[in-house]
Amino acid sequence: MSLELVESCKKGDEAAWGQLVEATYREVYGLCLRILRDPDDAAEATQDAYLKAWRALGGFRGDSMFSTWLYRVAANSAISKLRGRKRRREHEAQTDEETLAQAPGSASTHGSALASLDREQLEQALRSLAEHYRVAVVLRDVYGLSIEEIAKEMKISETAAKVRVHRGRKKLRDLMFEDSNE
Amino acid sequence: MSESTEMTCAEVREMLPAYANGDQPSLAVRRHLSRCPGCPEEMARYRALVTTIRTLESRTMDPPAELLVSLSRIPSEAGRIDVIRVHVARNRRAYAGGAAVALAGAAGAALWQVRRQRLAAA
Repeated sequence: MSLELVESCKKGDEAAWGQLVEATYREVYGLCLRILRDPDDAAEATQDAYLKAWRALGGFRGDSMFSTWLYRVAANSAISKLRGRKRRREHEAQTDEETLAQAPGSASTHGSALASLDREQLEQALRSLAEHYRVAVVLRDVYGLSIEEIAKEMKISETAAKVRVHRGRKKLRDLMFEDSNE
Repeated sequence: MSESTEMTCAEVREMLPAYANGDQPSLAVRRHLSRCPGCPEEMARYRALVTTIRTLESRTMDPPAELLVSLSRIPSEAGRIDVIRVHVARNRRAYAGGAAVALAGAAGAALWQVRRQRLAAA
């Protein structure tokens, strides 16, 4: 994503905005979908994210990569939607036991652990993680947000964010290498 | 484990997720990894996991076809959306009042209907 394109958008150039959207919206939609797990909610969160991004573009100073900035805006929209949805559907929360019961089946673990993992299986494992672990791992490991950024977006302490990433990775490892648990 | 001061496999494995993204483990963990037959394999699992997770960013999922169009229109429509939001916020009390009147009307009509049916039955 070129800074020139972002600068043109800041000046209100609608054609530049179209290019910026075209170059980024699949990843942003993917982030929202991985957090929300529902295509309609993800599309709404994506729209909300770009509306916020359009309004806040003036505040983007180029200190970080534009994609990281946009991911933060998208994470904020998706997490807000998650909270709103949670208020409506309190039963959404899953226990760890339920999560493990929904394991997608283990990866091939008899061979080397370095063998490339099945990405669809990994997506499935991510989807089955409890919400607080899923959001933390998706933001940290898929989209590269820092612990500080995750803590801000999730409105939790940095220590709590670190713990969620740590435990989330552990649960993913258990899901993906099920028969290697000792 | 030859010395009691050295870390156990359980202690090391508890810490491994923190090094999954390639961060250098502490000296004590590295010492354990260099001697343990099983833990390096476990470390490799975590690293393979995070390496593969990172590749998911580029694994795009198909967004709804109309999404791109609506996102591209944001510059021309953002102003209009703001106007609608401000209007709704300013007139929230009036809308709430209107809804209350409509509800009261519906309740009155229902009561009147019940009363009429009772009278007809009598």
